[in-house]
Amino acid sequence: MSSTNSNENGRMAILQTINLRKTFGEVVALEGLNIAVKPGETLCLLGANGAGKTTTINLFLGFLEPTSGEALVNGRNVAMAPVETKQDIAYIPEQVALYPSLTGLENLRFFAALAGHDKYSDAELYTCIDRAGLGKAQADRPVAGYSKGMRQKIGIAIALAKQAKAFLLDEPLSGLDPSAANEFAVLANQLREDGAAILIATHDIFRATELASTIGIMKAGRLVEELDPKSVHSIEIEAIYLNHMRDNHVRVSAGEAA
Amino acid sequence: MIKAIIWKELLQYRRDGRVMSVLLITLALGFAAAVNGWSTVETLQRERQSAVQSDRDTWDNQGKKNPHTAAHFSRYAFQPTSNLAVFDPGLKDFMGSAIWLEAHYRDPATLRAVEDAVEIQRFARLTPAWILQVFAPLLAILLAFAGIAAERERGTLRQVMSSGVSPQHLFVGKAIAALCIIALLAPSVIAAVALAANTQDEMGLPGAGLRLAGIVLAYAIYIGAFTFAAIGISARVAKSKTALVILVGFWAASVVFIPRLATDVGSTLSPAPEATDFEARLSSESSSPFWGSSEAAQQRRADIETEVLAQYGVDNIADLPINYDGYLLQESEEFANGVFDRMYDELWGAYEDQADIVRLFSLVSPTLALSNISSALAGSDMQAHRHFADSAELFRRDFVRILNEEMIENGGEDGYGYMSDNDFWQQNPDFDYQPPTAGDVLSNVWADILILLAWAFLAYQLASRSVRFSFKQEAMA
Repeated sequence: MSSTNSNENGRMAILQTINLRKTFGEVVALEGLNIAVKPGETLCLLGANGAGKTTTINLFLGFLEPTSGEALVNGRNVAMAPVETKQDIAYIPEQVALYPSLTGLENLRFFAALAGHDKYSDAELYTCIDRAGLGKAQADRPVAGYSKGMRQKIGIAIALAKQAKAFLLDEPLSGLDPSAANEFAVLANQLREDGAAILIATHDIFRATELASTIGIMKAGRLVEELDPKSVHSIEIEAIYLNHMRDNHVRVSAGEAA
Repeated sequence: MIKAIIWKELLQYRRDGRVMSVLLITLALGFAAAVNGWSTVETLQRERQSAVQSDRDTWDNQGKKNPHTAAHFSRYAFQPTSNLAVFDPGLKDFMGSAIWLEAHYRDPATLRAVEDAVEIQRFARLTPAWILQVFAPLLAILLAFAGIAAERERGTLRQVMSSGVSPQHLFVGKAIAALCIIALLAPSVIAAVALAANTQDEMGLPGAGLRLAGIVLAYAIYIGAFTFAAIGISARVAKSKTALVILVGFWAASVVFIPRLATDVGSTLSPAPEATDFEARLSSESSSPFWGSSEAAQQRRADIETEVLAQYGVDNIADLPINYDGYLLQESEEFANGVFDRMYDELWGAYEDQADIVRLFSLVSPTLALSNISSALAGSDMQAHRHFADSAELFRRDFVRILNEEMIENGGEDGYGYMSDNDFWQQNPDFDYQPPTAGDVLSNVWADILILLAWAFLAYQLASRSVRFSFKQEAMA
């Protein structure tokens, strides 16, 4: 999953950044970021608040324009084709926002239609919901009564209906109860096995080691570490991560003292 | 994509009890207003037809009478009612529909009616036009105030943006959905039109189809302006509740307060004369300078006598081949007509100034602009009444001239003792009113049309730019 060679093993990266830089005035949010996520891979970006994780996701979504460098989705520059690149992306934030007076099925139909998939039959949409782990009876209820986990599942169902090639998950497990988090992890792994390229921004080291094919540690807008959870033990990953965070903390404290 | 947004919005509206309640109430009011309007117009038309016939019968069968006595016996000009008044009666109910046609006299009923108009505009009436002018924008606000703000509050805006929806698509989709719901009020308008079509069109309003199309278009632009403004404000402010407060405040100002203020300012800055004063002046200025005992009046009459004697080459009135009393009566009419023209021009000028002042206020209230366009096209505004009053006055002058000529030509030495009979009365023409064309009406309200279009354009720009702004804000969040 190394950033520099996106065609390694003959597969093109679905999500890729090339020397991506983003500043907000004097503040550098991202500095020279190079990542690549290919089909069947999950990159978990770990980092403190302000490390640049969500900015990276926003650049892939085209919500922000890069100061320099490129964010590519399926080989296309997001800044050049912001609408087209969104067709390949499913975005699942911490809180999946849905229309409360609409049922799960109706929400799914709406968001699928926005992505250009407006010909689905009810049966096909129910299949997506079923694959996301939700029952038909639940799908027919207004989402006003849904738990956070159920909303996440509708978010997954939307992604399935969109036939998205890439998933951008921003703190997807935050606030989920352990059971719901486990269910979500199983789903995410299933999506990866089905060929999706997944980018997850999270604070949760435990879930990251469980989900990721690569873990990237971000600090102050830079990717400072890339780890393979298969070859590095989770305890060691935690130690490396905490070490980076401590450096950050010490530096921040020193800066404050100065 | 826009189709999906419309579908979703309509589904949400259907499940929103507030929207459905307001829609049903407005619809019910619209139907009630249509039936009420139809009933009123039909009654007016029936009564007018009956009155016209009665007036004709009375005139035709008044028996032997001196023509000048008949000129004071008088007739009426009854204003026909346009079928479109079912939709928008405008100021019709308050301007009087009959004008007394008498010698030496221009009926000041015209004055009272128009004078009342300024106050009249303050009253709410159950008419389809009023329902649409007042409730349709409120419905538009209710439908659209949360359009973008609520999306932002619940987080769906970000979700929608991530699906590749452009600001313009979202704006257009939401606007069309809101307008579709407002269009459900159309059955009440259609009912008004159907009832109007079922009513005998006694006025024969020229270009009725064009006028109706103009009315539909004007209301569509007006409702569109409010819908766009609601979406624009919703996109610009942080909370949907804030948007609601701003929009309801604007609605109250535009629909209720500014029209009242405008008429108050209009009548203060350009006051019309008091009806009693005007009537007294009209009477004294049209009569005394001709018939009075002043030196000037005596000289005026002496000059006329000298002139007519010279014209016929005789030395005294008794030798004239015409009846001199009748001649003098017609001369007095010509004199009075000049006074009427001058004084009524001043009067209408004051009302025109008031209307111009009110029109200025439509720069801050689209309701005023629409109201002017609507009543003008329906043939029920002040200009329509003026057109009728002026036409009736022209008829009065002809009517009195015919009677005076009867006396001049056939009165001989009898003068005021000369009697005409029913054969003569039955030859006298009826008042045949020809309303102004649709083109004439549009030329009277072009400024209102421009102002309404400007409102719609600015509201569209506000919405379009604000939705783009909200996308940028959300992307930075």
